[in-house]
Amino acid sequence: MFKDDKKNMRATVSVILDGRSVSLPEGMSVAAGLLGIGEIISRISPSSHKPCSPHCLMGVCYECLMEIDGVKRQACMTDVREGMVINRHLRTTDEPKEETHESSL
Amino acid sequence: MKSVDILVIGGGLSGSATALGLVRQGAGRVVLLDEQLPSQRLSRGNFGLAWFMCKGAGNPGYAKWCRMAAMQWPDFAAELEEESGYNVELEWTGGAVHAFGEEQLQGYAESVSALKAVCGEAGIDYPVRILSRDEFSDIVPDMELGEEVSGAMYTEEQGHVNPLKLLAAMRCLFQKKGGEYHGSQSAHAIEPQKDGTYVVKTSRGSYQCQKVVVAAGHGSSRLLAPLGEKLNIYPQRGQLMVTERHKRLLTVPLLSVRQTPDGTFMIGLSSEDTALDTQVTPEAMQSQAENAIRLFPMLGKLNWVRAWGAIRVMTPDGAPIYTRLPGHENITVLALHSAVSLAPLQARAIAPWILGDGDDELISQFSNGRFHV
Amino acid sequence: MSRHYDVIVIGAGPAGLSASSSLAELGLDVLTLDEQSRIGGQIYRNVEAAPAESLALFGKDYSAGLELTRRFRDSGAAYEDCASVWQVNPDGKLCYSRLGSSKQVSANYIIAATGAMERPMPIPGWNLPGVMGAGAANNLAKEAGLSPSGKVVLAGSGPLLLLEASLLIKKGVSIAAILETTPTRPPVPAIPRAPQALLRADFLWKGISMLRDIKKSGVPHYKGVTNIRALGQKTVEAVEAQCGEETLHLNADMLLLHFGVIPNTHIFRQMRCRMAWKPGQRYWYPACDEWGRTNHERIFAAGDGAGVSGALAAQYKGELAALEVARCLGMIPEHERDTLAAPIKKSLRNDAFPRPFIDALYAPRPEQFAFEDSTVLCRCEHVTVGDVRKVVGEGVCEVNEVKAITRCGMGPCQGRMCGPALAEVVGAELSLSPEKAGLLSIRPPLKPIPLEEIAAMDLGADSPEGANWLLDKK
Repeated sequence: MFKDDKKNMRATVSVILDGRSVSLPEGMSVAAGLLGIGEIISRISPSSHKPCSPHCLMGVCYECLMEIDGVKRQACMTDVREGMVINRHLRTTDEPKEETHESSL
Repeated sequence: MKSVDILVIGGGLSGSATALGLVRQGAGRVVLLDEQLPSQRLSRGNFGLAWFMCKGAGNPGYAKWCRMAAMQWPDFAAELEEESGYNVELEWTGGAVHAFGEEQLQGYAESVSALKAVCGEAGIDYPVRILSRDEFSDIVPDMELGEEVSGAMYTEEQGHVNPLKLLAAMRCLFQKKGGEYHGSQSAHAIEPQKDGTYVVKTSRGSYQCQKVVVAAGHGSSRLLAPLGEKLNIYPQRGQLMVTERHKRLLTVPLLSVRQTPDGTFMIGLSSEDTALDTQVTPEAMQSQAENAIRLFPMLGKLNWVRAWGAIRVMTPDGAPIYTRLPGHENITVLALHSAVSLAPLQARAIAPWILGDGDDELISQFSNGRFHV
Repeated sequence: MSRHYDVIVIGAGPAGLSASSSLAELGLDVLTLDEQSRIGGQIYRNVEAAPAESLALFGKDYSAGLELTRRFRDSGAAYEDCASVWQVNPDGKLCYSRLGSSKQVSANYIIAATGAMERPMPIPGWNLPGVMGAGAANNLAKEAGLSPSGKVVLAGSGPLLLLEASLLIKKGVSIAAILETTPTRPPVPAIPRAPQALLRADFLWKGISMLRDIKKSGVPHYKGVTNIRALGQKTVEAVEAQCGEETLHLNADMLLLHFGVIPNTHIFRQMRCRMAWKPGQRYWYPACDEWGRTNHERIFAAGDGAGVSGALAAQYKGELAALEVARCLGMIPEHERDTLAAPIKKSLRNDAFPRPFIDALYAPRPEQFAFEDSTVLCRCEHVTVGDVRKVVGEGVCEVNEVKAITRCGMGPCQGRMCGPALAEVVGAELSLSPEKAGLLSIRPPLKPIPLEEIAAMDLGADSPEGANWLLDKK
């Protein structure tokens, strides 16, 4: 979805994403870093149970919420750091709501 | 001028439940007026407990009233859901109040005995018992208890509900049953007429009424002053907090922590004498957060997402005011907090009483006049 | 332990940077709090670390930020990054969270320069992965040098939509089409405002030049587009829209939406500032005097958060707020304030010449808010337009009540993304202007905070004996 104009010239750090080690560029937000390596989905919505991805990239929409070092934070407002532990909980075991657009009432 | 049989002023939990009861009783043309002022919507500050536990210490009439309401809740909810189509999210999963340390638990044991006695006096049961720490842990198996938790007082016979859905359901059903609901409409005067009827002046015209029910919370006083009645209520702020959604772990509602079917945790509830100020204070938020974490340490990692304050309608003895105005028998005033817990009785007992067909003996204990000693 | 400042400035965009710099240069004790890790706000995002190519690509409008950042660094203003303000009191006390811990600080004056946001406009499929704001793509370019790799559709209206299109064209990004909802013929109110705009030849030249680049590129550019929708299963795969008689169907990997910019007003509403409604632009803003003072004596608003006027105007407003605060604190006399303010006010007036024309040209139209029932209105809680309409049909006339029943606005974004459209829908159902539908009540925290952080917060020795519950329950 995105390509990095400077791909080979960025310093990277190692983080744990959903249990596996990945390299993300330094000096940018986690949201930007993940989008840059093709990880588009930020979380599964707890209300619709559908995948979400960052929308505003400025801290307003909260679509990029993910567990970063144990606490749910906005990935677009958190800078990449060496050794960070990120969990997006993409495979949730919660009972899903009905997959319709019927009234939620 | 519009002519109605009963005009209910105030579309909060209390007014709406009563209005619903009135149309169910076939009371003729019933109109419900609701200002919908965000600052006065007390149901937003209601924790959602449909409870009788801990209520009515030293007050047998009130204890009995609360117990009766709780007993009718499941049936009331089922009927409401079936007829309105709204899911009010009632979970009849009991209720508990946790204790920190042995001394507090002992205090609970004493209060349970005291209330058993009071209820016995009123001819009603009080099915509450004390749980040890292990027993408490058994009823909240997925929540790790904080170190200082020594136990809890507990009953199976109550639950929790969504106060706002409850309000919406009652409002919807009231209209389905032929009631007329008007939002964003304020009443500003009740004028007695020579023929015994009342003219109520509102922001959108006047109504000629056979009976008037005043259930406008803190807005009631200004309507009653010209009629010579001083309502014995005072404002008491309650603040509460809501967290982000979490996987469902807690089904038993506790007095200060409950998890809703949506997965959010509600944490509360403070009691402060702060006049009509719905501001939220960091101090109250901190107190509540500390208490919640002491009880269930895992809550520490959850994000606090929302908070608000609501102004309870509090009376000197904590019990409701249900009163017919002296000299104006066709004007009834309702002023109470905990209108979630008492909703079934508002609909099924207060409504008939307004129509002249209720338990006068029990309800007259709650008159406004009881404070004039 | 509470720390007290002369002034706290919230936000390090053009308004905040200018205000802080001015105040510090005047010798005042100022603290600047910004929630990002780098100063510059949105428009000057990452400007201090921007490589030469970025500065060249984004042009003078971006590199101008370097002057502001340099001045800020030189001024010596105290600055805390990653500081998320979550409660502000009109008496000058505020709470903020930084690096996992929350603090309470206070100041004699607070200047809130929290900026603006893209107007959230629900369309079918707007919550599909791959749909984002045009400003979001701009942010990713500035912050991380990222460009869309697949086919892009841009949709909406406003100068920033076209600006982003021209930037993407410069970078060689594949654009399937630009879908402008702006009508083909300029709306009548725009025409009398055009002559004033002509007083700013530089501004007009920029606009013409941008349109020329777009035309030269051959990218299909439609006007008067309606019924935009994003289609796809897991991510956006296509975009459909109506253009006159023609139904457009475009394959796309990304949809960038932009429907103008509106002030980010949560902080002002949390403080219960008096808010005003701007009917032409359909947004709320804090009511202020010429210096940015709100109805609260100690609270000032500066920048796009006080009303959308662009980066230069934000800078000037920051300066003006600083001058007035300095006067209030007794640092400069009134005549000096006025002398220093005069050229700034002149620049502000000059900068504003094209604004009425642009505002009228790209004014949001009520028809744009006539959503389908199935469109998701509240993304966080998955509440549809139909859900809201049902509740209004049952007699609810006010947005807070709608929120309470439907959960619209109760999610993590606290109504930032759904508030404007919610008011439009409720207003339309009741045949009222959205202004009359009410404003969602904003309570603390302005941003979610972990409970353990609140529990551990040092509130100082003077916290009152507040809450008392449990066995007090009657």
